[in-house]
Amino acid sequence: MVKDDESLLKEYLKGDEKAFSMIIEKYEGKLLNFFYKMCRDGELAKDFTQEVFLRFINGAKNLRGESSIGTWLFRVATNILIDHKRKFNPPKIDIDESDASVSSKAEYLIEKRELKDEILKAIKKLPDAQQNALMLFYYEGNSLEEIGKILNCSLQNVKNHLFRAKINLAQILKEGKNGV
Amino acid sequence: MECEKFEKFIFENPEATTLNGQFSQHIKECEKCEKLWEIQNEFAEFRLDQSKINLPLKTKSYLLRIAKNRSFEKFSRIEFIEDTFIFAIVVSTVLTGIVASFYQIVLNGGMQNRYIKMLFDFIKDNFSNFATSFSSLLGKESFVFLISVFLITFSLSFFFRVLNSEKKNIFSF
Ligand SMILES: [Zn+2]
Repeated sequence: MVKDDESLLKEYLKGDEKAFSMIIEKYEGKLLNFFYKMCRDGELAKDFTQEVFLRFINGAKNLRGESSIGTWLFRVATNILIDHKRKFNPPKIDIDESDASVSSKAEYLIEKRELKDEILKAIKKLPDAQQNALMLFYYEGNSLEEIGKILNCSLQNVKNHLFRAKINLAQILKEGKNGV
Repeated sequence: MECEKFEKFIFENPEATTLNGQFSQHIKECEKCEKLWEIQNEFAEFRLDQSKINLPLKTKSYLLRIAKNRSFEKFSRIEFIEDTFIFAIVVSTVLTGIVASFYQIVLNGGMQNRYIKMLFDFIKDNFSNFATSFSSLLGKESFVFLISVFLITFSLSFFFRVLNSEKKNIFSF
């Protein structure tokens, strides 16, 4: 874990309220952004962000071994979204290929909307290093150099994790489509 | 060849959201690279306009209030009992070991000092069953002894740790 996060977590676990306040300040914007982009609903984004911090309060002790507080928070954020989508999204309707009335345009739009959800679920199947790299770079907005420091690896390695993650995701999505 | 170039581009530019003409033509023709580009786009979108937004103050103070109550619970409930438990296990195991080897010595008459020998003989004569059982370290008595020491150590150390705790509201769980 990076020095900053490590000392924040330590102080929080000692019962220091200021540390928790700093953790909120560091991650609230990133989480709100993430949720907003995922569901395009400001109120829901606020509720979800609050839920992430509530889970942090109860689960902070389990953070040992995590590469940063952020990767843990975003893992929780992903779970919350998946749970929410499972509960509130109507089940996926299979398009009957023989039905000529379904245009390819409509099919494309449905696919596009589903891609977000599929990626979200597929991320969990990636190796930890790749998941962490994705979250740190895209969701948290860190630079490649910063991620190198957090994950304790070279710039080339960070790029490699990101690239492999996307290649693997493409593979997982393809297998999902083919029903493997 | 084009695929390789495209992958190299994705590798080197994980934040890219636009493609040059050559690559845009390629993804129209290559399903594999198109998928890769779609995924890259989904992610890269998150890095755009990372405007600084905050939780409402009401939510923040609610979270801080919850954290304040919970942080103490973490200590009392989990760490506190966990640590005391481990401490009691170590103490009772070590003590049982010491007592068992003490009886071993008594049984084998390994002590030469006259007075100590007298004391040991007294123990040996009066508690021989107990001593024999103890010497195996698996006997009923050694087990009972271990459990009693564990319970006594656990209660005592828990009690003293509660008395010495900086967090005076430790009893509220
Ligand atoms: Zn290609």
